[in-house]
Amino acid sequence: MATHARHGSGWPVKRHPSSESHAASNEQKPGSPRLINLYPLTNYTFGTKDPLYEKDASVPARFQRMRDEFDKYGMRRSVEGVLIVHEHGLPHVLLLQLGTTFFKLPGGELRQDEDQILGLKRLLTETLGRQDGAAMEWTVEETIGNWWRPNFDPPQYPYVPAHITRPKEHKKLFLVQLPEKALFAVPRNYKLVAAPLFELYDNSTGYGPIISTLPQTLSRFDFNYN
Amino acid sequence: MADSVDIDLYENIEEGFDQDGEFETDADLYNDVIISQPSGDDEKEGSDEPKKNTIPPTSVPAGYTGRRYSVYVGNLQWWTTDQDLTDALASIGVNDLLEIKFYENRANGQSKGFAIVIVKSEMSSRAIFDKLPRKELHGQVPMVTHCNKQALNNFEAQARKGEPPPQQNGRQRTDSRGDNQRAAAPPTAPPAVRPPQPAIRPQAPFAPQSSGPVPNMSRPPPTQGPPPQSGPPPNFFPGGMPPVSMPQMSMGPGLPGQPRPMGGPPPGMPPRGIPDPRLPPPGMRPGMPPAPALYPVRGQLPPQPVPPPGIRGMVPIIQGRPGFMPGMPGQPPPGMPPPGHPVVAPAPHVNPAFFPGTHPAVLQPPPVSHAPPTSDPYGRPPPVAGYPAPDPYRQERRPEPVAPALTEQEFEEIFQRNKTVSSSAISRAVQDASAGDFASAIETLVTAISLIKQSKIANDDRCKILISSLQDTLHGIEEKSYGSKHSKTEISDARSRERRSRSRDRDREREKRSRHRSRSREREYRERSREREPRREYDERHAREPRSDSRRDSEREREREREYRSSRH
Repeated sequence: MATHARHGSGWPVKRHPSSESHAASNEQKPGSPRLINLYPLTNYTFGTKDPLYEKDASVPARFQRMRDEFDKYGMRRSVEGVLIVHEHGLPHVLLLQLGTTFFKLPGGELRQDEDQILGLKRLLTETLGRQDGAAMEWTVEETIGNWWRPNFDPPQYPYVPAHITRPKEHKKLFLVQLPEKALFAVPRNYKLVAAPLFELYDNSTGYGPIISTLPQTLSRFDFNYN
Repeated sequence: MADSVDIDLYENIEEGFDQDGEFETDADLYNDVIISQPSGDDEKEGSDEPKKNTIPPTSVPAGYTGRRYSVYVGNLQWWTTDQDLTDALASIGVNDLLEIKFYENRANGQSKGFAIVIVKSEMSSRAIFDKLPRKELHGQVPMVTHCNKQALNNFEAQARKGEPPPQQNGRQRTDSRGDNQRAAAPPTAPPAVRPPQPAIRPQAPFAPQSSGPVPNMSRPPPTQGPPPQSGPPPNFFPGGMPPVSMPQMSMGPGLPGQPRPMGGPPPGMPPRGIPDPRLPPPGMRPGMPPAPALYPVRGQLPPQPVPPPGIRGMVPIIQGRPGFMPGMPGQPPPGMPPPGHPVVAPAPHVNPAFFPGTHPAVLQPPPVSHAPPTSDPYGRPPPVAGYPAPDPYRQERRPEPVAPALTEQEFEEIFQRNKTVSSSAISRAVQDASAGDFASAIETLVTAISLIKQSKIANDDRCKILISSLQDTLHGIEEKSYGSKHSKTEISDARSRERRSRSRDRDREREKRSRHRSRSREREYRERSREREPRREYDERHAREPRSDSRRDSEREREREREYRSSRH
């Protein structure tokens, strides 16, 4: 049967040209890690803005809300962004510090039926976007991790345990490529820190399993230190 | 011709075809579940008759006020899901299921093979008792018991020993070490997986194979997996290891990925029980030879009667070795390679006998049936590729059972016990004191205090609170006893003495606390475990922050943060 003449290889045709539009250095073959551009921490300015409080006042409240929403909407979908800068030739991950000992990645919960990437951009802008409302340039590169919460409990795992049919939360981590220069506004109740990879490595007591395994997760990328 | 309409199937792909996005992966996995979720009606208990039985309820509906009848259902495979259980119950005729909750290993989420099932009616619970054991779930007959502590302990013990080692890598091993008679208990380190264990944690002794944990091995040794698994389930290796499984195990893990198939004389191995990851089946496995150098156990490990307790336990062993980090995010110990390949080959089968800590026995051929928990033998044997003697694996270092290794369950048990001890001691002492018998009251309290201090979790802040309240009572009674002896005019003195003593006490507490803190800080540095014990974080936090004078305020804040953090994590 006649096939569309212009679609030589079939599928997906238009993909190649568009993927070329990424940094020229991204000409890898599928499967090879992407090249990510990192810029020095000094390229970025950090301002402050009004506090952004968490939705839950306490831990039990948090799980209670999770239960209620699970009954109504099903599994919670969360997205978090891994924003990386570099210093001294080492990648640093931007983390929000709450209090003195609690760290988290920027991101949050998606609304029902919200697209993941758009949702992540929305959340990043809510958290770190400028107060004057100017558009922020978030380039969401790709998914670098999936974590599931099997019960209404703190533990999360990078897989769904075999006996669980309905995980309660699914968190997706995305690598976000920062623009060369940017201004971030950090809510007053948080501190934004840039944690070097060695600080996170093997430090799950300090940062939890998701953040402390970021060095391994990011190791597959080639970074370009600008 | 069809093409006259030139439908461009891909015309909207300009933006790039994001394979990952759009929830597709989730959809694939959880299509049925998720898509039906939002409608919400599945969850409502009893609201949708047809669906009710198909969706396993995970939590009792908020508004439920009726009676709940619970039973424990155990002896399940770790991959038996709540859906399986729900279906089995439905086929028995139990339609008023309220909740199914599995007991899992916190460190890795794996099911321990038993769950608590809550139903609305006693008839259902009786039906479960009668009929469920007649059904088979994934080749195993479920065991149904009443909900009591004894049964719970039995299931936990079963989980630790035989059943696919629920334990996670070694980290938790210490606790099992404490409990299991089996000396080898250390968690079932991934059976067989040993060599590259680290990731392998697989519990089920066979599991490794099937679960393919072998991270090192380029791929999970699925070959071994399935067959062994169905066979004598890792559970309970009677007297060591089920020979059947053994052979397989050894083959398995070793095979895939390993340059040398461990295949070794599996039969020989079986007796060894789960091959200790560290112990490369002495000579059994081909290729092991080099390993022996690395693994202390080289020798023939006399069959350890210990069933492969948690495979995970094994993992720690590896650690000793070349920095094998079993639990660690998977990385096969860099050290391993020394021999050029994951020497680890040590018996793909998890040698139940060799659990971290218990290994010491491993080292020497004579299997001391339960090797003392110390992990010295393995403590980084020189051959170890110099893996940064990571402390993370406590086993190694810890000669004593050490509290940190406690599972949450044990911790809770001990804590409950302590609480009971302290409250009964206080009430008895107060009674005695009011009756005038101060001596026995004081003695009661002193005994209680020392009991609690001796317990494994004495360092925990909650226990410290218990101890301090006991001490307060003690002082109060002492004062009273002095006061009653002396004349009444001294009562005011007694009271001020009391006050002073109480503040002294608090100072003492503070000192003690800082001592504990520094001790635990050391331990913290030495061992990095995944166990997210609140205490540890709490201590760590304390370690980081200087003790402030307004201890109470900062303490409250810390409590909050700790709770926050531990729950987050």
